[in-house]
Amino acid sequence: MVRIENLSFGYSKKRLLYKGLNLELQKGQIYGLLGKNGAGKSTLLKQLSGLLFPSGGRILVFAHEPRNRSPLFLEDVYFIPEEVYVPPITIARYVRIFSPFYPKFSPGLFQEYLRILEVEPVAKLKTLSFGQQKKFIIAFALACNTTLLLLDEPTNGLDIPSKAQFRRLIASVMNEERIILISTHQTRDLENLIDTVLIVDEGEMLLHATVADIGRKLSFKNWQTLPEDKPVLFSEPVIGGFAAVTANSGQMEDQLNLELLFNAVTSRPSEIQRLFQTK
Amino acid sequence: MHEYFSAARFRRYFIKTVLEKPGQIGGIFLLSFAVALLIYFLLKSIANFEVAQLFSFTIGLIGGGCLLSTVVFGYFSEIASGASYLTLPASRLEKWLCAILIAGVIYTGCFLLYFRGLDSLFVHLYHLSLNHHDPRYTEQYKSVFIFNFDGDTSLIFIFFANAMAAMLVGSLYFNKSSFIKVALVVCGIYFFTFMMNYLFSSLLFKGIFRAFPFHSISIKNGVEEGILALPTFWSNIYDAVAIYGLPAALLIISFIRLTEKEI
Repeated sequence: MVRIENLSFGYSKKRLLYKGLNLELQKGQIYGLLGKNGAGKSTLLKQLSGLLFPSGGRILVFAHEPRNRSPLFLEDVYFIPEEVYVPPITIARYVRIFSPFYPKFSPGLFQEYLRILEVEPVAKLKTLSFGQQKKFIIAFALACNTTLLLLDEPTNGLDIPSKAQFRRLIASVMNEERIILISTHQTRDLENLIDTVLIVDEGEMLLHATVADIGRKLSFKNWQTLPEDKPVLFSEPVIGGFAAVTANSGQMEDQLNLELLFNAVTSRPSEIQRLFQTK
Repeated sequence: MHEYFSAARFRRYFIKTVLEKPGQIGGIFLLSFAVALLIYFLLKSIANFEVAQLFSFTIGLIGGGCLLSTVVFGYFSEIASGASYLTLPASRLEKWLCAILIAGVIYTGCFLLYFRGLDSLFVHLYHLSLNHHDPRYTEQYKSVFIFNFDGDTSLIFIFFANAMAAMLVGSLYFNKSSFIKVALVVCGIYFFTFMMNYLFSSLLFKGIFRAFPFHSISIKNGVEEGILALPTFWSNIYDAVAIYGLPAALLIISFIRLTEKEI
């Protein structure tokens, strides 16, 4: 389990980005971390991977403190930053020199993921396009079979078919032992993929709820005119009317609209939080 | 213990470091060897063997070592490469030792072997070129000899150890153009200490016209010049600091900095 207790962090001492953040991530879940630019998404991933250190509070990832960057911790965590790094070598050499650091690395799965993501297996890494390099790193990271996989804007730079391939691949590799945390501001890329939604803004966790819970408590619909018989938590104009978030009064789970949820939570955080009682 | 150091993991990490940047690391070796050869050849032609040996050895050893020092920790110019470096499952001690091994030990060993070969070749060719019947043959033969790696040359090794350690520290502080920035900082510190030594000694003595950090000052009294040296005890302390203390402190700082490095 990943536990963040009372985390404080800021790039300058005067202005803290996170102040007293608490969060728990459970195994077997795919988390979608949403936030505006500069909201602290990448910062949180860096904190979890040990690339940044908390100025207050504590982070525990499977009983390890990430800031120690111990080999046993790093063997079980893979962080893919938004911009990926590949050295000027071939794929075969990359695998030969990097994979031994990850005890659970599977060469067979790696080849399979490369095939699914349509990465040319014989190419020199530096000659690949940015999107191909990113897909290569994603395939490698998945083949490492680490318990915690942190992906920062993984779909940036991927073309439309690759985004679909990425979603299918992530869904297929998920198991009860893994935690996958995906940070993005492209909400559509995470639809039908994530189990739990985390929305951060200005260092505060505005929402931490499962997709099922959100579907039970909120309703996302397009209306020609806004309903008068139920309170509208948030609405925005769309072609032909309004997209609105209302409290779900029925028994059925409603289909999640991540973009609308995100806009609702960041615009009207207190109303939404009251429903979830997460603050 | 396995958490801090594992021989198998260190071996893997060393292989990874070398094979990950074969062009850069190999290129620096070749560049340093080529520069040493060029300087040796040019200075031998326009000056003499002694000057050629001294300059080519100094520039080749220190220049190559410093460049390599910036490469072994040179991952922080981009977040992606920095993240890849810091999150690779090897301990901080292994990463630090690997940097020292490549820049400080392996490069030094290779350069010493190369230079001995180069020097021997040039000296041998010179000896062959001499006329055996020339009455000055013995004098000419003995005037050129293979460069000694001990004695006064030890000063070059001391300077190399300091420069390499400073570059290791600097490449962890300066994410971009660390080689140039560290060189500027070192020059700045040297100039500052020189000025401080000059200012302090000026408060105590009159007629100071030279003050090197920190062994001695030169004083002029009319036409007479004299050197005022540090007492032996303090001079020995200065030597110990320069030879052992400073490089050791810089290496320890580089380890601490690597431990605390964030991106």
